[in-house]
Amino acid sequence: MPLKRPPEYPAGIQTALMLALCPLFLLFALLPMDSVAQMTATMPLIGIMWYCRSSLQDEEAGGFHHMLIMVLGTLITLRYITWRAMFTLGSHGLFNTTFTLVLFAAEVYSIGLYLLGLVVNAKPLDRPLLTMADLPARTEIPTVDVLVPSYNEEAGMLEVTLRAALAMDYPTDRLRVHLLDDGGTDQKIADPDPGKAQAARERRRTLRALCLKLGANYITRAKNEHAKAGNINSALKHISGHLVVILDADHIVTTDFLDHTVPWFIHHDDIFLVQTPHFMINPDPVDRNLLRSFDRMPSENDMFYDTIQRGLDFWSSSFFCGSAAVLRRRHLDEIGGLQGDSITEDAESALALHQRGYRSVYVAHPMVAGLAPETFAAFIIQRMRWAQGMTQILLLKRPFLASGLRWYQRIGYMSSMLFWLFPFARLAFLLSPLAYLLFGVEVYNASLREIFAYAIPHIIANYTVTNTLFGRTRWPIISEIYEILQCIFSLEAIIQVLLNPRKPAFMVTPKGDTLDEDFISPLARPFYILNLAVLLGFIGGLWRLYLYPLTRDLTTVVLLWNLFNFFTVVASLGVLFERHQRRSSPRMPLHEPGWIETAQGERLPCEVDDISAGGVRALVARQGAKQGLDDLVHLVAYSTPLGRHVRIPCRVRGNHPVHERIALGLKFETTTEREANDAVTLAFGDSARWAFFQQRRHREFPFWSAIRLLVLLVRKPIAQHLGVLLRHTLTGLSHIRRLPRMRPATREISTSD
Amino acid sequence: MNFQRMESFPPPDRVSGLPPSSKPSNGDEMMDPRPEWLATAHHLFLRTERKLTAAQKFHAAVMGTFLVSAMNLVFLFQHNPAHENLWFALSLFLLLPSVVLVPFTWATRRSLSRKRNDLARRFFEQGLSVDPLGRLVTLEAHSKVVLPLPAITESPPAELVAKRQAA
Repeated sequence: MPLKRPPEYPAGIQTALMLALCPLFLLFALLPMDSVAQMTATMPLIGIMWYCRSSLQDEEAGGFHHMLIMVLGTLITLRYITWRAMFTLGSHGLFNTTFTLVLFAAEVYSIGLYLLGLVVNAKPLDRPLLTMADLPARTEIPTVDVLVPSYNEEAGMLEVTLRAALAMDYPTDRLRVHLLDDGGTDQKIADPDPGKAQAARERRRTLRALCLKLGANYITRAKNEHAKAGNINSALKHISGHLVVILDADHIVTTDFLDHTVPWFIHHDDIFLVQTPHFMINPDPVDRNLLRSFDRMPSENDMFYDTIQRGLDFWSSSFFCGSAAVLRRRHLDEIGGLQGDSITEDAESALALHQRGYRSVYVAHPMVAGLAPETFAAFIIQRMRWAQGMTQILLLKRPFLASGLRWYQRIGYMSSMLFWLFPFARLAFLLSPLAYLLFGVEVYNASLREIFAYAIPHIIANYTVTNTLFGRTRWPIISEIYEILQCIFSLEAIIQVLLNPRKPAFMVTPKGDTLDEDFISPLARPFYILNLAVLLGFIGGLWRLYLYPLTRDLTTVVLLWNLFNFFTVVASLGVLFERHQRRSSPRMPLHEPGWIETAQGERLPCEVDDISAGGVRALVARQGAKQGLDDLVHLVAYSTPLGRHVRIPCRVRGNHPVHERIALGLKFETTTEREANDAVTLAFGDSARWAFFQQRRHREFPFWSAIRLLVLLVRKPIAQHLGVLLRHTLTGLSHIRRLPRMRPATREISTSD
Repeated sequence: MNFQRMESFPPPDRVSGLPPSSKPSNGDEMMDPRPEWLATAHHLFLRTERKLTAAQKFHAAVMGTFLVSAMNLVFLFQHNPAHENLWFALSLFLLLPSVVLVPFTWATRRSLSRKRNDLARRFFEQGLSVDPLGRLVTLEAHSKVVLPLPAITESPPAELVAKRQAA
């Protein structure tokens, strides 16, 4: 199906226009001006940007107002960085110069990444949602192999994933599902530790039986080599389908996944990949522990999957994300299977295939539901792997020089990979104000007037542009919290890669954890130190205000900078307070009508309020609810993907009033294969539900509301951490108080001896 | 469609013809079998939305004019460029009306925004929303169109006028 693209002017005219505009653009960027002239020039530009922002409502991304905002924002930013380079780097002494250059390098990095991001996200592509029904009657349907690599995931989780994969709407003789078990390999079974060997044997036996029951194929291998990529490559030797679907162990597909992805391969022979978003059905630790707004705020990965991947897709450089994707087997074979030089085999393989001139497609419709890491430690493991893997590709594959790539693909890959170097910049932005406030290091040689003329317009322009591009999928200031949380650990991981690019090993992200009680993350210590340093910065700043009246302007500005850091660093403490999580299968809101059939034959109308892999919460009228705990009932609800009502036996596990109705907690108790399949399809089969949920979260959040939220967030983490510290201190004190009582007893024993 | 919600339409407000907001009921509300208030509210929502877009643009333009003229004056006072008088007069000519207009445009934008949000909230309470195409649809994954996009007219619907006159 032809895509709707903007009208293209002849290449000559485009080039001439660009060449004519470039000198003007550069002239304005480099034109020396004093502070007043700069301010009078930039404020109207910001006024124009503001006007454009208010005119965006009925304009799609890439329109005139979008472009104008980006051009003006770039202009203001370039003027800022030029001024920084020319007038603010003068310093004396090695210590001063080093800090000044580190901060400047961090700014250059951020602005460079920002400019790359502008190109990438200038025109996010909206692909049409193709369907198999639109194909001509005699079209040959390709055979599909679904691969579910697993390492240590439990059988219950894998059962849901396999059932959903088998329930996909596709000709059954053309679809095969394989479980690739790396936890039951020959190597694991021959483990010298008898306990581990027995567990591996047991796992192999259980999963093989599960596959036999469901109609899937169980595959394992001799040795655990090259982690996930090795597992998949090993399985490729046993399968021969035209297309390969890769799903993580916790990734549950909707029934229409193949219906919307396979037609792309039939229409275009040069497409090697159709990637779809990973839709997370549980909050990540930042959301769960701190923000608690899973159903209101866009998820962290929405920015990537709803904006950046679409932007990359416009430039033919959307890449494989390890799961929720379909790959063409023939193309994969050309590069010898998934690449294994880095620990992010997905992006590396996509890069290799892009280099060969094949195309990728990104379908921005959520059709795969997965789990986000539950704990902060698991979150950090995942992010460290991504940071290390992308840095490995940057160093080993060098996309900026790689042959076969178009210039825009190089920009796309560089933007995706350079992003992961953010820990250097983030730490520089955190520590620079402290260097000035505590040690008097002049990291930023500028007067207050210059800051107002150059820095403030740059910050406003930067915010306006970022908000224009990502406003719907990332609330203001949230990125700062995520970056602060990752920067310390990712920095260490990246330095390891820089020292030895081939050293990092693949780490499996733990998923589906349950937490019995609240606790402080074991990774909290560096953040306590950071908080303490920021607090000391305030003391140093006040001292400088008092002692150095001539630099009061600058000190005030740096104190404000430190105040912003304080709020974000304290907010990040809230993430480190891990809240208990007793439910292993997350619930998603549903709000669909249904009935509950009781053992007595009554039929109560209900509203299915939420649903998970294990059960539902149903709201029934108060007068009709006579179910006691452990009663067996049947839930009858309409399943859109199946096109019929499903009837699932459930056990009543909870019964409590909600407003004017009774909420019944029902646990699925399926007895037949059909019922079990129906339960999975009812819970996870409908992609429209994920899209609806996602769209409701995609909305802009005003800047001042975000600031207010940040300020309000500060109180809670401090109270939580102080509470735990106080509890520990009291426990310690009571322990000490008990010690003297124990000593005489010891003495008595020794005396009697 | 959420039938439980749809069955309990609140009665329209006597003045505006719109359903009451979610404030606590005084108990004398009656079931309204006629959902014509929906059509009225839908119509009003779309008109408000359109007016709001225009008001936002106008406000931004006025603010932009204000900023340009004010900054120009600052520049003139600092640098005394050639043709200073002409630029000064021009800046004043732009500044004065924009200073007068800014509060009005701000207030208009704000009142329209509140009106739009109030209508959106009332739709939400009924399990409805207005989609990007301007249709009134049910607020669910497989949404159904309750009312299609109406022809937007400048004057309020006759029904609304009649209700206002009756009030």
